[in-house]
Amino acid sequence: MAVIPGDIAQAFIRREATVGPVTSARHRRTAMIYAAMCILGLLPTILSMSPALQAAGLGLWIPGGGFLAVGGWSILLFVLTLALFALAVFAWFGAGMVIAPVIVWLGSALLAGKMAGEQTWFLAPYFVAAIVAGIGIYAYRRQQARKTAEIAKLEARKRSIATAIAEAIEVAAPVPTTAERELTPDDLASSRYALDRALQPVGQMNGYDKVDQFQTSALRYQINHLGYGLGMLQCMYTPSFHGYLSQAQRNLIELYLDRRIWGYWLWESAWGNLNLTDPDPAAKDNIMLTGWFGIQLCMYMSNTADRRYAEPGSLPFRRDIHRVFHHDAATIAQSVAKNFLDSEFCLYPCEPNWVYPICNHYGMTSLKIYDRVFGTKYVPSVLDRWLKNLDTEFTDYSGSIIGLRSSLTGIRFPFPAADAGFAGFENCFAPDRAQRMWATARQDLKYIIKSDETGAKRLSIPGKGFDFGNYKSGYAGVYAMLMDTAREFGDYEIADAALRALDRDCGRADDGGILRYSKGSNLSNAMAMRARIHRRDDFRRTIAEGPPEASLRGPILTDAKYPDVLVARAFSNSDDLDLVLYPGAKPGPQEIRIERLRPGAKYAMRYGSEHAFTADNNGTASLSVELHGRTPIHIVPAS
Amino acid sequence: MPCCAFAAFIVSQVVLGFGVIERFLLRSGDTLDDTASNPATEWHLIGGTPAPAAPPSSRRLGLRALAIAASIEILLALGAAYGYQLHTTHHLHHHDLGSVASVPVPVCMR
Repeated sequence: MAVIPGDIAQAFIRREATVGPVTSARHRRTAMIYAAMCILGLLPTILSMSPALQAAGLGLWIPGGGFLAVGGWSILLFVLTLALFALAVFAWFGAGMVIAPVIVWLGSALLAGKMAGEQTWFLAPYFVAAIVAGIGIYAYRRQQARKTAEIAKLEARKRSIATAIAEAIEVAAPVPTTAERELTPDDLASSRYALDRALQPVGQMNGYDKVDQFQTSALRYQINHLGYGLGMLQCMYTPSFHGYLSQAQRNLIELYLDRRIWGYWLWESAWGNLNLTDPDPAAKDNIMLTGWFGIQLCMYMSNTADRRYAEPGSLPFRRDIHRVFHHDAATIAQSVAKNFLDSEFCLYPCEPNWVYPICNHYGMTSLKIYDRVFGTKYVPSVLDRWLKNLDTEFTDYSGSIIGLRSSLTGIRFPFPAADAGFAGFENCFAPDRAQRMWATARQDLKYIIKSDETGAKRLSIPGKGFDFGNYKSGYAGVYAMLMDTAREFGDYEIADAALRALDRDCGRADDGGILRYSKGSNLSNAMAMRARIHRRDDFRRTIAEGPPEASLRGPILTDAKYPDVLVARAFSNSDDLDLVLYPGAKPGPQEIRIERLRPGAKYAMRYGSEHAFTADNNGTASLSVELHGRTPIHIVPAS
Repeated sequence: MPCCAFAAFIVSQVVLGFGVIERFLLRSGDTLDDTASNPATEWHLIGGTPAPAAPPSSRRLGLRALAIAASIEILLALGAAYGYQLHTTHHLHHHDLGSVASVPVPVCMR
């Protein structure tokens, strides 16, 4: 890909606004509604109406404000209501419970009206007005300070962006060739972490973190990331091995249909979209399911050419014995595309009302792979508008994408977001933008690269960190994400620094042939597994290109016992099968099965010496192989 | 007395609320032990470590804490309702006494 730094930098420098027309309209609407509440709330006081109405009216200015009018001990209820309101906003943010802050605000106003005595506290209106003004001034100043800081950051970035992009391109390693593709023993041990979890019977969830099903620790994200890791591994290292690797991916897909995984939507649909009758998980909103799951489904189908999940109704989301939401890969993709087209922001919510740009990146990536696998044109039909709105509605003054915006109010909510986190996805559908984004992220990362006591470079972030996979302290997820993105852009220096930090700080453990990070969540471990096997452009190629065409036609390894036979490499040039196997338990003989051979044809299996065999009439053959450490095996048609 | 009970209820709600926020959002009550391991990562499919014999999971602890908090909340709410009822009765009583006081009969109110 020929990239000219100046061209990429130009778009970045030109951008001027961050509050786009849709956000502005939402801000105006929110302000008008609030102004109407204030006017309505003040009227009873101005018109000397009953104390009950005056108290209720003041309650419209600020949650619990009416209790100031009630006076006496009830003033303490004002503080309590503010605390409750904060919790309600947290429930709104965390689980899309739109009704929670509304109930607390209006409920407290009604209660204050009910509690009001024969007269109100005469100073209450002044106090309420002063508090509202104080909050307004504080919010305005804070916003201005943030804007100033972001503009300063933009100016600094503008000065260095061209150099940064040139540098990022210069240090990038080349895309590895097929011949170079082979999992190392550490890679295999890491992949066993994911395989162990995926190969347990569908329905069991041993080895997962079970905290909540609404936010980032939810099981669905753990399943998705295990699936992405295995899918990318198959595409890049073992496209001609199906067997337990494909089974593992199917297990994860089928586990995802369990109501314990997606049942959160029954609640969110009710208290967020006020939809009690038709809480279809792949209809309105919920890109955190459709976008993420869509990638996983299509990765599997792209790697294996197995189209079982494209069959109508092949993905039943069963609510109970009476109600099933029948979906398939097509309806999942259609849900993403339709929501993009229907949303004024183009980007659309995860939880009702909350638009997360990161989940929308997953959504666009899911359409990219769906388009390739099924020949649709979803991405070309929506990408320009999507990117324009991303730039104008979801980008801050420094040029970075924001974490989260409320689609109802237009308010930007503080939520961590990193350019590096977006760059890997954009590499799949907007590679020039991705390169610019990675270059700016890389500049920031330079500040956290330190030398350890041996002089080796490692990432070093102060503090105890936060693991989004289980809400505990730790940097496993952050290091894994940075390593993953750095590898995607071929920056192996930063990736190696992240890997060293992971190994040093996050409790690397090698037990039972499995490599894991004991101080990380399951989600972080899944991300670390993918990061470890990641090489330049692997994610983009998995999404936008898929496995080599020949591997979809040639012989495949279909049966090998897990974990006795570990597959480090499996490619075909359409006639042969090139394998590298390791014993997973103990050295010795193992049975393997090959399919898609030419029926009745003679083959030679070369490993050490040459062994001849003949494929049966179905094009299959069962073979015994001796595995002692790294065992390369080449199966070729007999000449 | 009923007024004081009502005030105590409100104050306790505020204190409990801050306690909950501090514990669950800011997690200040936790010992942020850098060396803490995640038992979920220890699980192996075959052989090796069996499913960890669960040190009480955060979920279980969370449910226990929730049950205790709910019990306290119910008690406090009942107390508050009782206090509020007495409070209103108290005011009505004052009102009645006021009516009585308006007639030319000396009444010792306190």
